[in-house]
Amino acid sequence: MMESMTFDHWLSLAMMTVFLVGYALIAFEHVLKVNKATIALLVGVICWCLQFFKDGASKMDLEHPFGDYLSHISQVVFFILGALTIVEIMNVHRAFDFLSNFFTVRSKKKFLWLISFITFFMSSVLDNLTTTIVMATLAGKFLEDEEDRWLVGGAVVIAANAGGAWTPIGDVTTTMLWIGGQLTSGMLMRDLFLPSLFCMLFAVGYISKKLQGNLTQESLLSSHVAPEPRSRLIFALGMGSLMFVPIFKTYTGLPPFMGVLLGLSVLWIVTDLIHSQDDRCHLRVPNSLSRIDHAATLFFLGILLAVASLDAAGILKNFAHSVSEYVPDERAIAVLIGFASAIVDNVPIVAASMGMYSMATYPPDSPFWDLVAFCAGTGGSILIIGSAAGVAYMSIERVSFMWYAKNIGLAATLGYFGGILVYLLQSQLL
Amino acid sequence: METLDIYSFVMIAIFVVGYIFITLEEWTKINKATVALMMAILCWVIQFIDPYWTPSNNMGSLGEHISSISQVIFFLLGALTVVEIINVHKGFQVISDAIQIKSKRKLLWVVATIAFFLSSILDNLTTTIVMITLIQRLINKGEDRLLIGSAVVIAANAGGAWTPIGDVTTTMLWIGERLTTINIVTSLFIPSVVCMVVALLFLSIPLKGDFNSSVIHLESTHAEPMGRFIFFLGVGLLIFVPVFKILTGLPPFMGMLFAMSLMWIVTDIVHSQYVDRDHLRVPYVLTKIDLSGTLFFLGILLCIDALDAAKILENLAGWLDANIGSVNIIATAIGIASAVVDNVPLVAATMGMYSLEQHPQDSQFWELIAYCAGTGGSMLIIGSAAGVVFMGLEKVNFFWYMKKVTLPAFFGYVAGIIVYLFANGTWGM
Repeated sequence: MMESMTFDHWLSLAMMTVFLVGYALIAFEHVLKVNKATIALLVGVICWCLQFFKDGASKMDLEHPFGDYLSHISQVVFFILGALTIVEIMNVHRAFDFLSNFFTVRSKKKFLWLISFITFFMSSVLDNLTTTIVMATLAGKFLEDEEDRWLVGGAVVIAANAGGAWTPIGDVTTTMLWIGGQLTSGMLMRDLFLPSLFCMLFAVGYISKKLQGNLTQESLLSSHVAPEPRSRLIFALGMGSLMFVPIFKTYTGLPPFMGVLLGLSVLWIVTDLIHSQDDRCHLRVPNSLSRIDHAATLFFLGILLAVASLDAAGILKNFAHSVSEYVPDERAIAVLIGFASAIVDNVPIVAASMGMYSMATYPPDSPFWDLVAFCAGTGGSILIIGSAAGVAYMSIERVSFMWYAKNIGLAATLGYFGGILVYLLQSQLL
Repeated sequence: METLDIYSFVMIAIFVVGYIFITLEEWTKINKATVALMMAILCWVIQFIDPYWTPSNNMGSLGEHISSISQVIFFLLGALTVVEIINVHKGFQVISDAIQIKSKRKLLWVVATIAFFLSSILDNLTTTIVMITLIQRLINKGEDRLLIGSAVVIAANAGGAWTPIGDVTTTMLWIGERLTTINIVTSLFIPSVVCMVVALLFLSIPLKGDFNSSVIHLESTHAEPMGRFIFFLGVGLLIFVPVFKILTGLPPFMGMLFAMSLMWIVTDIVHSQYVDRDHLRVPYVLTKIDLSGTLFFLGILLCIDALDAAKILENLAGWLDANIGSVNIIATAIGIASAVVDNVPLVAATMGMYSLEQHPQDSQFWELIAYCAGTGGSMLIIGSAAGVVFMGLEKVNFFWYMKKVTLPAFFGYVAGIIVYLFANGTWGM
């Protein structure tokens, strides 16, 4: 690469530099006091500017992939916007208070385990993002201490990512490998259930050491205040519409964000109808819309734009190529993919690895693809910005990047390697 | 039109019923944004289950439409945020200090003239957002404010029609080499001015006398720190958006996001020392943005695109062509149609239907299309992006607009066409 340093290469180098600098600024948000969403947006815009300045391709060649990326990115953004609003509608109706009847445990440790298990199984059906939004919001209602809330939230992120890895519909990257034919659903669930479960168990076991004592009486009481009218109906409708999303996708073939928008518009019509008579403005959707975290959505938009520009520049692919030159072992590559997915979005990484390694080299259901699915799914938990679930959690609880790295990162790494170990043991035995 | 199968029929029925629900929002009490979203999803479901279209075909067209829709949505979000940042800093006082007018009619003319020229550089959407927000700062809510807002919509649409960068449809015709820059400006400037002036003459009839001092806020209230600075930065960045597009080749929404993120960084830095300034920072500003208006936009655009993907719009244009011979009448009809549906797919369909062999570059047909599609949208509130934004920002009722504004807008529209035809010596063709 060095001997042919053209103008385009310099621009690619500049893009990487902008990305890394932006990344550092995001990591030190609490010191700089500049919002991470705006940095992410700026990085996205600048990287795409640099990409468009390249003279290697004509303008038409550039605009086409940009449209493709944008179409994909905006689907994710609209999905998040819709899901956040649905959860917020349920939240203003105090619909989750109804769930609190299930949490009769007193000890914080038991509470942590209960939440983690529910998250794990919920995320194997629902997507990680929705699961995290629902469960982190719910867990936050029971804990008064900020540190406790953050720890339980971290466990939710890890459990959601682990739970998504072992089913074809639970996680975007696993779904990609499933649709691409690299994995079949039966084999996938057989091979990855135990590793995913142990990944969660190791990590949550480590986190539970930091939690002590019982849930306070007040936090139990405050979660039992009088519910808003129709809260049960809204709860059923909200959960139902979220679970309907994959079904809607299967039956109509429309992308998932359309399913989420359908759920949102049903809830919106219902709330408009049942609250039309009284003075209940705070229960209607325009109020919920103003309460959702727009900065988080914009952060997402910025990050996705930035990563897409690196992908369009071929930087991700080049990186993967040079990795496979230095690391010949396939299992080590999969492990590295997991680590990489902690830093950048796992979707382009899995897409790149699907492009790089052909089905001829690794046939369907070969250990390599199993490991890629597991690692890309669970490796993202190591850093807070490594997974959609983490980013959502970051915005719900305003957790800083550094706090997560210090307190949850180690647990997630433990679970990550624990899961890989279980997978290797299991493949020896089976 | 012979290809109208059951799927197309159901889709049209959904559109019409949804449309009725939107216009009857007052009575049904169901938010129009959710009706628009529901319509869009149902139409796309129909499109996806219609066996005539293959799944890959459908995914392709949905993907392309999503990409262009999201550009509009992100653009709108960015523009709304920038304007709202200026607003919370009370930055618009710079303008309201400059406009010291108490007479209702004078204010209408001044605001509309500013909007006309602003929209020839900026797009109609930004112009409308800026000017509507401005009059919201100036005048208390009421009928008079809505009339002036309507004048802004008409002026923004008219002002966009005569420059290649002022309006999406004119830009489309310009990029598609149907029209050249000089030709657009020379042939359409006078008709656009006439269109606005005639419409405003009729619109200003009910406006009499001066505003009470209790209704209009001319005197400066206590200003927020950095208000002037934020105003000039924001306006400068908005004007920079088209420049950004020319320099980088990136679509305008990227320029808008750039503008927004710079504003965000600047406000974060200048207010970081003060604990009592959370109300001036962007996370708070974002909660004040009208997201239901944006979702309404998303729904309407998605829905029109479903009709487009099903080739219903194209069939309609074909039917028009077969049944109405005259070029001038077709162009006029397209303008009136653009009051009902979005003008972007309409112009796109027209460009697809009529080749450059039929109507060569800079021919009268394309000039008229540019004028009609640009200004015809003012006749109904949902006929143009500017109108839809006005509806979102001011909660204007569909019927109010129809009663008060449709006729003036129509007179302006027709007057512009007549002037154009006389100027070209082709009246009666």
